Amino acid sequence: MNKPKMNVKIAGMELINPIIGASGTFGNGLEMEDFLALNKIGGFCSKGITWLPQEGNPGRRIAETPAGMLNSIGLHNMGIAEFIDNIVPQFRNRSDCKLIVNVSGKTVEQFAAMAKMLELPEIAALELNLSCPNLHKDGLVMAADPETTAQVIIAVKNVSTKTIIVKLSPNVTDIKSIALAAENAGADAISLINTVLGLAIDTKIAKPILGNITGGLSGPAIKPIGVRMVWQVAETVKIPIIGLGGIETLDDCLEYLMAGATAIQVGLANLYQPDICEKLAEELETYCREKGIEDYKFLIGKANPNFRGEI
Amino acid sequence: MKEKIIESCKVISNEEIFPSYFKLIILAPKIAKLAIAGQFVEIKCSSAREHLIRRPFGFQAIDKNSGLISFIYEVRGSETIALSKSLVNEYLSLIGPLGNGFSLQGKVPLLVAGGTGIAPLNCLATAFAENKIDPYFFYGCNEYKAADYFAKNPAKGQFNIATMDGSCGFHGNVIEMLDSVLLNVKINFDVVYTCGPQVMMQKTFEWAKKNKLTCFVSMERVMGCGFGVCLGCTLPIIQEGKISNSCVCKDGPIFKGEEIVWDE
Repeated sequence: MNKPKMNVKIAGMELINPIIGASGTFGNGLEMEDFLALNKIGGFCSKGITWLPQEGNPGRRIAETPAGMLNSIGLHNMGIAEFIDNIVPQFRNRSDCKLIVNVSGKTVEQFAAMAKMLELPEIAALELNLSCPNLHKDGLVMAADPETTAQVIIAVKNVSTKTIIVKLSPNVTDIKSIALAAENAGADAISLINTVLGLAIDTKIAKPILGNITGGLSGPAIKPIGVRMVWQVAETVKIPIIGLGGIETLDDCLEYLMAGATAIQVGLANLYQPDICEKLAEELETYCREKGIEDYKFLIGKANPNFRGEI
Repeated sequence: MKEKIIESCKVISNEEIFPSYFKLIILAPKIAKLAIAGQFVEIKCSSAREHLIRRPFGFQAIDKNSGLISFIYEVRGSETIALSKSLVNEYLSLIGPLGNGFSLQGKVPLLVAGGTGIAPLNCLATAFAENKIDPYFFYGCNEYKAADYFAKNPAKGQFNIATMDGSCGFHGNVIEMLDSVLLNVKINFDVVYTCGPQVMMQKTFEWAKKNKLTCFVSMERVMGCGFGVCLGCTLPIIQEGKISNSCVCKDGPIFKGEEIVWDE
């Protein structure tokens, strides 16, 4: 059988395969080149970038929990100016890997200003982070509110020609209404889920383990939540969904695709298996070839009878 | 050439050297070739899906000819319990070498270690010896069994042991031993290296500062990745008068004593 089709187009962004490194677990891409070839994976999302440099949270930032990890990094990053000056130029002659910049604004205006600055040829897409749970003590996120979500997207679409992906939080009551608001506001794709708000206590000293008290849970422990939310959103919107949360095996990728994801992101697994994205891209292709599937896209929404996407 | 490698490595031996402490020897030719003292590897200790995150271990010895690398670890949590059950001829996944190693400075180096902090400094002492420099090594531990093991398996150089309970070597902590030795002989140290419990490293740094010596410290933090992408292992570091969060894995684990915010 011929080589199966593994490429996918999400708005203007063409990926050679649907495997993407998730923000916060992939550095700014180049750090991972010791372990994998960036031109063998669909793309990657940069560490979350903010308007000004941020030092992140003090105290302990990570705690391993069963089948997962809590983190409260707190958007520790160099700020957009240094990112544009020092990181983006490194991708000047690297059309073979797709740089998706994860953008985190504090206000609608800040999101728009950053999107304008990121109108650069090296950048394939923007992922709007409306859902970092570590910015406030109570874990409140912009993505909890459909109206704010829509305002951010409209403002960004006004100034940006890039593919606009909106990253949604699972820490909400009704994911469908927020996804619908994102679609109606003009988002090109939705990525979900960000980490699940959690807390771990060191019982020996009767104190929370993390300096920030709460943190975001990622890893296989949250995979069923991610698959369920992708499923629900796939029943609700037509725009492509990028699924993430606990993916580390081929079967995990298939679950997300069959629930209705067009592409998938790998997060925590990059930390303990930094070649995982390339491996999963190979394994997905081998799977399609062995099963006689001509185009991996036939898998999208296969398990979900109410899948609404247009593939 | 790649600087960091994922290598599937054979366990050559994994023995309890005294209660709760193990010495692990692994055949890792590619990592051994690149590694220097002060660097570390991330080991996948358990294949169980509920335990995912690797654990960092500093080199105790690196033999580039045979490709053997050694580590000393204390069994204290689920991952080190799993590691202690690894059998000879089993394979472990290692990522390394990671972090910045020690830079060899001075002609009369002083090495001050406590607990499992002896491992990286043992590796450093060997590196000095290979450069025809005989370091002074001061090691402190809590009790007889650890002291007895290292008395029988000393690091390279002039090796001195202190125990808190006085059961072996000097009776007291490692700094008290240092002061007591220096009462009798004058040694013109020109650089200090330390690894061990934070309190001991702080005391060593203060001693070095008092004696106007540069002090390199090997810091430890809970790590997520080990190669600088998750930013989970940060430490406030003072550079050019400003404090900013640096990664122990990528920017360290070796720092200068004056860069550390000791009373954090």
